[in-house]
Parts: sequence; C-alpha cells; structure tokens
Amino acid sequence: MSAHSHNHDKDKQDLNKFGYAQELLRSMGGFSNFAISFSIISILTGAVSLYGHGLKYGGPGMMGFGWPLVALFVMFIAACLAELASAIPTAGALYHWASILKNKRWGWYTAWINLIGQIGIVAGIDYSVSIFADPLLASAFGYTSTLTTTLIVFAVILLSHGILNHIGIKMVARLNDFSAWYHIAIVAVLVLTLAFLSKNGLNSVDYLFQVGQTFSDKPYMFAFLIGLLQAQWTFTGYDASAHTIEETVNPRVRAPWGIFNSVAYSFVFGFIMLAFVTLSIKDVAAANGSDNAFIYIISDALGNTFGNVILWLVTAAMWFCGLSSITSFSRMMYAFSRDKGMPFSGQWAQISKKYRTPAKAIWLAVILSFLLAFIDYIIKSANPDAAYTTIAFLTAVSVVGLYLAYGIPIFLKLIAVSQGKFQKKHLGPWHLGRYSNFIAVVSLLWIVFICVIMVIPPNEMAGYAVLGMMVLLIIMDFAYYKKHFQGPQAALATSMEDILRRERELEQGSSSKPGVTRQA
Amino acid sequence: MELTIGILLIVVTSLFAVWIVRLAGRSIREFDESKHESFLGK
Repeated sequence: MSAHSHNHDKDKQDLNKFGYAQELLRSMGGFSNFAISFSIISILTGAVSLYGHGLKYGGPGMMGFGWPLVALFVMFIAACLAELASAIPTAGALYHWASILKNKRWGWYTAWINLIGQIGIVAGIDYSVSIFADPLLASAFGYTSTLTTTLIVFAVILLSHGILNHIGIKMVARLNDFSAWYHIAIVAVLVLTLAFLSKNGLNSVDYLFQVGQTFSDKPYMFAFLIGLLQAQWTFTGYDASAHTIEETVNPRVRAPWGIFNSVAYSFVFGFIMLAFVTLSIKDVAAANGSDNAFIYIISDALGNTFGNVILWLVTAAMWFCGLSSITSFSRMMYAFSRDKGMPFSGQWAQISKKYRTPAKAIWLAVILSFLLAFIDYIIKSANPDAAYTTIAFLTAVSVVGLYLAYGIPIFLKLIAVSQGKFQKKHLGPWHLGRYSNFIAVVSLLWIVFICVIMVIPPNEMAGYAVLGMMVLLIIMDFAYYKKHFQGPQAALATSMEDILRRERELEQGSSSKPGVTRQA
Repeated sequence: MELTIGILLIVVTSLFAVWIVRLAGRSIREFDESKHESFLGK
C-alpha cells in the first residue's frame, strides 16, 4: 500500500468517525491547502484596496506599525484555530467545533455569524477587484467609471468565480497553487520596480515609522485604530484551510500548517510590499486626496504606462483571491447544510455528480455576495454624500463577522478545557501544548478589541448591518432552528453501513443527494 | 525612537511566528496516535 493511499484511507476513517461520508474529492496537498488561505488573505487585495484607508487615518506609520501589530495578534488567533483544525478535521470547522465543544445552538449561531462574515469577505474581495479593474477598463475603452459600472464589473467577476468553482476543485486547486506563487512574484516585481525604477527615488526608512500624521478629523491615536481595518481585513479568510480540510490529504497536519503559515508568510511579504510602496510616496497629501491612493502612488512613481501594467497585475492577484474565497464560502455552506442548518438545506448540500463540487452552494455564495454589494449600491445611490465608502463597509462587516466566528470556538475550547471535557488526548498532532490557554486568552482579548474598533464611526454602518443580521438570526432561531437544525452531533448516529454506501454511490456517480441517510 | 520601536515590533512578531512553528513542529514529532481520541462532543 502506498503512503498516499494509506493517508487517504486514514483521512477518510477520521472523517467517518464524525458520522460523515467522504463526499468531496480529497486531492489537495499541503501546498494547495496553504495556497487557498494565502490567496484569500491576499496581501495584494486587502493591503492594497484599503491602502488609502490606512494612509488616511494613520499616515505612513500605519504601514510601519499597524501591519506588524495586527499580524502579531492575528498569529495568536491563527495558532488557536490551527490547533482546533488538527483536533476536529471537518469542513464545517468553526461551527462544527462550537457545536461539539458546547452545543448545537452555539454552533448554529457561529455558523450564521461566519456566514455573514463570508458574505462580506467575498463581496469585499470582488468589489476590490472591480474598483481597480473598472477605472483601468474605463481608461482602456474610453468610458467613465461610475458606481454603476463598478457594480457591473463586480457582477461579471463574481460570475467568473462561480463558473470556475462549479467546474471543479482540481482546477481551482491548481489556480490556487498558481495564485500563491503569483502573489509572491507580483510583490517581488512591485518591490524591485519601486526600488530601482521609481522616478522620485525612495524616502528614508524613518518615513515608514512616522506617526502623528492623519488626514482625518480624528485625534491621531483614535484615527490610527480606525486605520487598523486595512491590516485586519487583509488577515481574514485563513479559516479556508479548515473549510477545505475534507479535500486535503493528511488534513490534521497540513490544514493547521495552512492556517498558520498563510498568516505568517502574508505578514512577511505584505510588510515588504507596504514598506516599498510607502517609501515611494512623494506627496502624501496628494496621494490621500486622490480617488485611489495606491494607484496614485504607483502611477506617480513608475509613470502611467508602466504603472498601469503593475496595476493590472495586482488586479489579477485580487481576482485569484476572490476565486479562493468562493471556494471557502461554498464549503462552509455545504457543511452547514449537510447538518440542515439553513433553509432549503437539501439544495445547498447537493454535490454535483459530474464535478464533485457543492454546485448550488457555490451559486448561493455568488448571489448573497452580490446582494450585499447591491444593497449598499442602492443606499449609496440614494445618498451620494454618505461619509463611508462601500469597500470600508463590506470589509468591516467581514472583519466583525469572521472574527466573532473565530472567537466563539476559541472561547468554548477554553471552557471545555476548564471543565475537563476537552482533554490532552483530544488534541491533534498540531497543538500548542501548555501555552494553548494563554494564546487563546490573548486571542480573545484582541478579537473583542478589534470588533469594537471596526463598528465605531465612521464604520457605524457596518455595526448596524451586523446588528440587523443578528436580529434576523434571533428571529430565525425561533422560526427555523428549533424545528430543523440537527447539529453535527446528529451525524454521529449514522451507521457505518450508511456512510460506506453513500461513499460507494458517489464513487459510482449514481447520486448527488445531500449528505448521508441518517437513522431516525 | 519611532524607528527603533518599529523594528522591535517587527522582530517580536517574527520571533513569535518562529516560536509557534517550533512549538507545533515538536508537537507533531512527539504525537502518539495510539493515545489520541477523536473529540466527538459526547
């Protein structure tokens, strides 16, 4: 028996213990698992599209101090999530962990909060692509970029991601692998061109750590905290390595590494990129006053033609990021629907017979993400003088949703450990040993802090959106949860015979029905 | 002064990453499958 087939059987048996059949195609290696999270974090999406936001509130010092500060605390959180992924390797991840660490109601809320964050992150990423692509297309084809044209470009980009994700995990995994290398290559190109070809030369290193300058009407320290959204949003979505865990070979080791390493490498490459972009600023006030500070700085430093080439390359990186984020989002919904957590769960848990992908969940992810941006488009059209930007709104929603969903299982694991429910024997191979609780406490403190920062003015709209969705959740709790949601614990009642039958059906391509048949 | 603090922050962040990698690497090497039990929440 080869090492690969041995691992595959062991991985399948591990999953079967949780009452689930191996429905998704398990073909992702360690690099692919890392690549999907690295691509969703995408330093060329978050750090770039919110560069203007960071610069406006924190000045150049936001890049020198804000980025490593946020990265440090995000690594605490990533380490906790990695430990949980190693212990409980299922695609439901956050919500599954919360369900079995406490109860199904905690799991249900975690899933929906995660879902809110996922809608925000997919919409935010693809909207980032469109706010870069639309002006570039406008200058190439001679039309004027408006909110409407940006929305149309956004819809087309979402559509392309939906189609590719539907077609198959193998192709998306290959594109994710390529995306990881592509990100590193583009950062290298950007850094080298700014280092050697910048028309204005580079500022001294001190400039990167210059604090006290803000272009907002807030006191500097407060403005600096608001500006942290730039780094904090960039460092989201690394739970993708856990959501694709049922598609990863040797998942209890590879997925945790995917989670942690994607954050660590993003910190390093992101910092190098931000440092060189910031050191290239010639006129910070003009950059801040422009429509897009990043585009302004690159064009100013490298000229319009070469600058445009670089910007197209960056935009392509953002497109890859959106592709990966739909994969992660759809897997989360597939897993949640498999446990009947959503209305019409039977639909979203279906696996395409031909492609072995959760096709309907993929298209639901596309539609929900479009709707969030579309609602904001209507609000902005009715009130063009609104103080917030669409991208800040979408990204703040995703930060709050995702980090609350990250925090709940971390908190519940602490409780379960203190009650002796979760013991050392339950830890997977990737764990933090005696430092686990300390790292979890620091993570939780940061999550509380950052969630408050993300919803105070000027981002109060994001707070209202999250609050509104929470009210909706409470209503759904009474209207749907009690009647339908079985929780992942229900899957434990599934007989091994049923699980193996389901796997045989999928091997033979004879069924696309959701999940396994459960005993009454 | 800001430059020194900034560099210190970057060093601390990098060292934390290295520490976690070493910690997790050791736990994987020392992992004993026979002592492991899946946490099913039962």
